[in-house]
Order: sequence, then structure tokens, then C-alpha cells
Amino acid sequence: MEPDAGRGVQGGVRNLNWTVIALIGGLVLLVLLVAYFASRGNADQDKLTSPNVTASSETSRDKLCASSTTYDLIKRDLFRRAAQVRGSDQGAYDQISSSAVVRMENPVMEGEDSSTGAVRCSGSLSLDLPPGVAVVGGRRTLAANVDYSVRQAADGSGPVVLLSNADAIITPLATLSRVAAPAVEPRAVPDDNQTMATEEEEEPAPAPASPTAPEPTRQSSARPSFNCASARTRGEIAVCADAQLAALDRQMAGQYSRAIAGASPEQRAILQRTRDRFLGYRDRCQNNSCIGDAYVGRMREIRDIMNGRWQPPR
Amino acid sequence: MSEAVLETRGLKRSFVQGDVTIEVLRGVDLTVAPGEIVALLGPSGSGKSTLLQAVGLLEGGFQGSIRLAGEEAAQLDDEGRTRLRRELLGFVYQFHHLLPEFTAVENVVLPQMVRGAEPDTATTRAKELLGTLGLSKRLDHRPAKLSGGEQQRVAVARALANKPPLILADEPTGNLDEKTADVVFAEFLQLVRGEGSAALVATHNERIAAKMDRVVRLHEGRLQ
Repeated sequence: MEPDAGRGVQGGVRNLNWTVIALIGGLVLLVLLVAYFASRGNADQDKLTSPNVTASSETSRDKLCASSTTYDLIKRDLFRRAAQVRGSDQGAYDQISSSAVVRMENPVMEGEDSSTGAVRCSGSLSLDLPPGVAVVGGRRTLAANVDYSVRQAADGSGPVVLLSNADAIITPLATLSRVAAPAVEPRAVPDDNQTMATEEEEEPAPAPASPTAPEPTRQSSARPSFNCASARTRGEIAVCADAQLAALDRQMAGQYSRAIAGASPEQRAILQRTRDRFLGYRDRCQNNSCIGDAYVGRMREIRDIMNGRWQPPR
Repeated sequence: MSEAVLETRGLKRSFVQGDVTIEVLRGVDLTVAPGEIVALLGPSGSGKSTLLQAVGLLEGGFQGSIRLAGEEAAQLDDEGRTRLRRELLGFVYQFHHLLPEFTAVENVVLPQMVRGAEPDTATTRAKELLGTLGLSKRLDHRPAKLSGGEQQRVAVARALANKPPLILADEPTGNLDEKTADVVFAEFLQLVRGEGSAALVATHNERIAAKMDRVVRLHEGRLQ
């Protein structure tokens, strides 16, 4: 028995050894696997680590370039500086400012000043004046490619904006004056080409007004550039029923006429080609807000065509 | 003798670049009488533009006195400097700096309306000036449609539109070929004299400088 028992014991030990070796081997393999994956992954990957924080704060800073607060500060600065250039009453300019609209196309964060924390931005700035006032040449839209920086005020009072390269807006804005209500004689005969005439009629020159005291917007008597007696499409009827849309129509028609007058043959072809698309879009609008946006977009499009920045819609 | 339209005393300006301080103007004393046309001559980098920036009240950071038509301007705040620029000065730069979206006549109307002129009056004056400079048929052209010489003529008309007592010109024909530069500069002088304005004209060109009433040379930050 002994030898058998001994063999049995020896066999058990041998079996146990193999089991232990297999277990130890498995553990070692497991440890190696854990170590391998641990070395590949970031130990802090569940935390908001610096790259993530950087990306997040960059996004946040990027938003500074395109925030409504920034745009409002830019608008105020434009009017403040225009009033200063003119030596005019700031209050009168402030009144107009509240009704004016600024738009920024392609706002881009250019960089950051580490010493001041200011974010440097650039973009194509447009200022749309409210109906009832205009600058030299009867214009109500001014545009410039501007640079601006945004930083938090040292006293914690909020963001501060520093605007540069805006003379193409500020100088004309310093000529701001009130314009008389447009007087358009109704046409006796409805014109089949009425819709096209919307953009082709020249805006009458603004009546001379006191340049020293800009007055608040007066919209009640605004009329569109075309004869409302022959308005037929949904867009035309809506424009005739709303003084603000009518003013936008006149503004756009004047811009279009001036653009056509100064356009190269290629630009003229694009202006005319895109006109039909705009009118079709406007007439499909279901509300005045859509129509207003269509006019603002069309004015931007005309400007882009004339500045060589227009690209065909995809 | 009537009061000088421009008088600087001990005008200094230095710039710091790293550890180095560069003294560009080291005490400039300059007087320009009403109607006098003065050439400010000096090589590139001698500080001519810096001096024009100072007397044009376009930059701060200067030491010394700047009197424009008798008013001490060096210490004025932003608003005060803007007022003096508007009332007393006209500028012509090497590059025209016309507003690209406005026609030639509108570019000349603009400064007048900024000063409160009625649009009709300003337009008449603009057409008259541009006509004198041979641009009657280019009134409604935008700057991009004008030649370099024509653009600079419009810039000259714009500077003179408000009949300022003093024109500051920084290489006003420096961007033009020699032949066009001579023609435009002759027209510029004739117009400035005709309007009775004084002018301080920065140039590095001895030949152009010789056409003016007086030449002052900027050398090592001082006038000679």
C-alpha cells in the first residue's frame, strides 16, 4: 500500500504542482495584461484633463468672438466713435444705435493675448441702420472687415471690446442724418414686371436733413420700392403691409441699383441670376420674420457679389 | 505776422524695443506759417512719419509742445484731439485710404458732412475740387475703378474739402510712377496754394522738396 500510497501522494503533489503552476501562470498573464492596457491608456482618462480643459475653454473663448454681448458692445463703440468724430451729441447717436442692427460674418478667433487674457477676433462686420436715417449717398448699410479683441474688464464689470479697422463704418456713420419719408408715385398701370422692378428702381436721394441732430427712427410712412397697388405675390403683399419690411425693400432696391451701376459684366450677370432665387425664396416665406431675414441675406449677397466674395450656393 | 498754424517745441518721441530705447525725435522745434508749404526732408526711417503722426494728433506718447492754430494740443484728451483734427487738419497719405464702397465724389463729400455741411453744398464743393483735378468724368467711380494717380487725386480733394488751415502729407506721391507723381504733385501744390492752406509734406525726394516754399531736414531726431 505504501508504495501505492506513496505513488498516490506523489501523483497528487505532481497534480497540485501543475494546478498551482497553471494558476500562477494565469495570474501572471492577467497582471501582464492589466499592466499592458494600463500603460496604453491614460491614468487620468476619466478626469477632465488639460487637453479636454483646453479644448473646452478654447470653445468658450471662441464663443466670445461671436456672442451677442460682444456684438452689442461693438455696435455701441461704432456709434460712440462716430459721434466723437462728428463732435455730435452722444445721446442722439445712442437713440439711433438702439434700433440699428450689427451682423458679423465669419467671426474667427485669431488668438489670445496671454498677458491680458484678451481674445483676438476678426470678421466681416455689417451695420444696418434703421429706416428714417441714412449716411452719405443715402446708404443704410455699412460694412468693413474688422479686427476686435474681447477681454474681461479689470473691475469685473463685464467684457470689454476693442475694435480696429472699422473706419469704413465709423467715418460714414459720422455723416448720419435723418431722411424724409420716401415718396413713390403709384403706377397707373400694373406692370407685369413689377417683381423685377422691386430691385431695379433707384432709390430717391434722401432729402437734405439737419446733419447735426440725428433723430430716432420713423417707420410709419415707409413704403416699398414698388407699387403696392399691383402687389400680387405673398411676399409683395406682406412687404406692403409692414413698414419695416417696406423700408428693407427700399434699402435693398437702392443697394441693388447702385451695385448694378458699378458692376462688371460678370457681376451684373450674377446679380441678375441671384435676384430670381431671392424673390422666389421671399415669396415662399410664411411669416414676416422670414421675409426680413431674406432681405438682410439678399443685401449681404449683393455686397458679397460686389466685393468678389460671393460663392454659388451648394 | 499772423499766428503760426503749427508750432512744436521740444517734441520728443522714443520707442522701446526689448532692452533698447530708440529716440526717434529728440526735441523738434518747427513752425509753419499760414499758407506756407514746408518740405520735411529725410531718408526713410529718419522719423518723418513719426513727426507727422505727432502733429496730426494721431498718436500719443510724445513729450513737448504741439500748438495748432494757437491751441496747445499735446495734452488734449481723445475728444479734444478729434475736434482739432476735424477743424484744422487734412491728411494725404502715401496710399489713398479711400473708402472702397463709396464713389469718388462721396469720398470727398464725407469729411464735409462730418463737419455738418449740407449734402448739396458738400456735393457741389466735391465736384468742384474733383473737376479742378481733372476728374469730372470719374465722379461716380469707386476707387477700385480709378487709376493710382486718380485715386491719389481724390485723396487730395478729400484732404482739402473742408479748407483746413493745415495739410499734412506723408509721401503723397510715393506710390506713383515718377511721371504721374510729378503731375499729381504739381496739381496738389497748385490746389493747396489756391485754397490758401499751409502744408507740411514729408518726402525723401530732393527734387519734389525743392518745389516747396521751404525745406527742413530731419537728421538724428532733430531738424536742421
